[in-house]
Amino acid sequence: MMLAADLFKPFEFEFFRNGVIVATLAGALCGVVGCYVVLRNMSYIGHGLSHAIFGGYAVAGLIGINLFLGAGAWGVITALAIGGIVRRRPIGSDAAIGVVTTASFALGLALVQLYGSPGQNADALLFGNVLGVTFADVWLIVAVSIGAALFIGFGYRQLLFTTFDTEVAKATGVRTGLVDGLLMVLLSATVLATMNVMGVTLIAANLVVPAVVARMLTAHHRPVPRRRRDRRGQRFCRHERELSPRCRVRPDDRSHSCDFLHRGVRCRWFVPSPCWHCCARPLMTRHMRMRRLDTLATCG
Amino acid sequence: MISQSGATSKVISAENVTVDYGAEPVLIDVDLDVTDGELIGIVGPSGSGKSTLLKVLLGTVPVRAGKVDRRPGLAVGLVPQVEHIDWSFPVTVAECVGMARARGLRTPWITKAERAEIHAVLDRLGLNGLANRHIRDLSGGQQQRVFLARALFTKAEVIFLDEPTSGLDVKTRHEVLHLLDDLNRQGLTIVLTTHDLNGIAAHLPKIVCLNTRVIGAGPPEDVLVPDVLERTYGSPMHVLEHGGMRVVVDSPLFSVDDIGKASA
Repeated sequence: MMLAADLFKPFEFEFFRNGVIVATLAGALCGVVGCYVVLRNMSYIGHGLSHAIFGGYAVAGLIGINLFLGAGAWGVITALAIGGIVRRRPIGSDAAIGVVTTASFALGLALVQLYGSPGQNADALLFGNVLGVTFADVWLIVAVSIGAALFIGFGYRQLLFTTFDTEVAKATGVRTGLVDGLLMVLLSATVLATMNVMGVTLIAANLVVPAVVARMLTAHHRPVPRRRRDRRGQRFCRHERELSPRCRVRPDDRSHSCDFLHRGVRCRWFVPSPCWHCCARPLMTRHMRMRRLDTLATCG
Repeated sequence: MISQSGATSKVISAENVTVDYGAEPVLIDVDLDVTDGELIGIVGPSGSGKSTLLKVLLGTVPVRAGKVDRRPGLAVGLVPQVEHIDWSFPVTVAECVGMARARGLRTPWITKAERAEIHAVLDRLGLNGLANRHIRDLSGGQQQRVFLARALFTKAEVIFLDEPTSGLDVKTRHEVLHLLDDLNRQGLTIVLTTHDLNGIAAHLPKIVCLNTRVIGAGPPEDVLVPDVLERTYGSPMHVLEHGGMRVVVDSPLFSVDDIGKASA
């Protein structure tokens, strides 16, 4: 009882409650937005955009407007500029991100060096301060999360189609320019809202890492029905006879190897025979088993 | 040869179209009419503007001069080159087909009615039982048919295919060609680009030879002739008759040595 009381004691403090709420929402928000960022091969944009916003922060301080609004507007303009260059120019998204964001960051650093920091501690923007979160920060991130949910909920198919095949989506009548623009605005709003909490470096990690892990764990954009996954998994697990070409039993040492499915992220698991999947099965929870078997079933 | 189903009215008409991407013109004064129920093949060398012409007809590329008229409310579908597809993208066959119905407010998930429609389209194209497979886990012919299914799912009246048989073996190429023929007989208008003169173009009822300009257009008997082919491809070609079909072969007199002498 003592331990439980100690565990919940920090929740008596408002700064801690705010920190927990904001950290949870920031993780979810970055995870959702990051999926589309990674699928568009724009993984570097989170990192770049969070640096670019630093330029807006410095410029806003210099001309005497609200730092937050200035940095936000700057972020949106930067994101739209990146999106525009990627659509119109024959250079890759990585190059466009590199050019636009580093230029903006360099401008911000130069202005801070020349005229000094415009108010807040610049280190806090770069590295974040989850315990210094205010009530306004909580509302901002709640508002951006609701905006993200509405955009992805109502525009899911347009977003998916544009991300998968922009040219065909455009030919079919989807307003791809609008979809791209809105995603860039959402991305910059996400970076802006989470900057105080995580700082620029963690934002980049939070945008990319969950999406990459998710992509390694599933071959589907949405999960297949649980019953079907189970059946496919069990069939797969009746090992030697029905193993797919990518999943082999080596006769020499009777070990079992399975290529992890995705192109570009192929890690190979070697496990001793008898089949790891069957041995581990009783030890895993139902949820773990489903996820694991779904992954393995896609090996074929 | 594939016969032409009854063509009635114009669905897309391009007149004196010139297109550039800010540099040299890719298309110059191109005229092309697509009528209801036609099956047209656009042939030409690499860089001749075949894909650009498709985009012009689709309306996704602005024209510098000329005009393109489309029948109001015309629904079009595009089957892209398979080389342009990101095969590691996490979508199943059903999701790939379902995403095409994206205009207007839609539920994020595929509804029961849509799922039934998707299964009907997949059955029609011989893809039954593959709805939950990842698109990467299909054969070349099946992959091509998935993207055809996606175009059909949008209730497209005209389908454009960019190099539908590139990278496919002979058997699969025949399957795709027969499938296109079946769809055309059911009333679908089809426009495709191809490099394959003998395997695809010679079987089509109408061919357009393109090399920045339209060099020739019409049935294979009129277009697959040495003069038109030489002006299109810039090298001499022979046309043989085999089993009532036209077969295009490179000129036996035009060897690698001749190319060397010509360039010297």
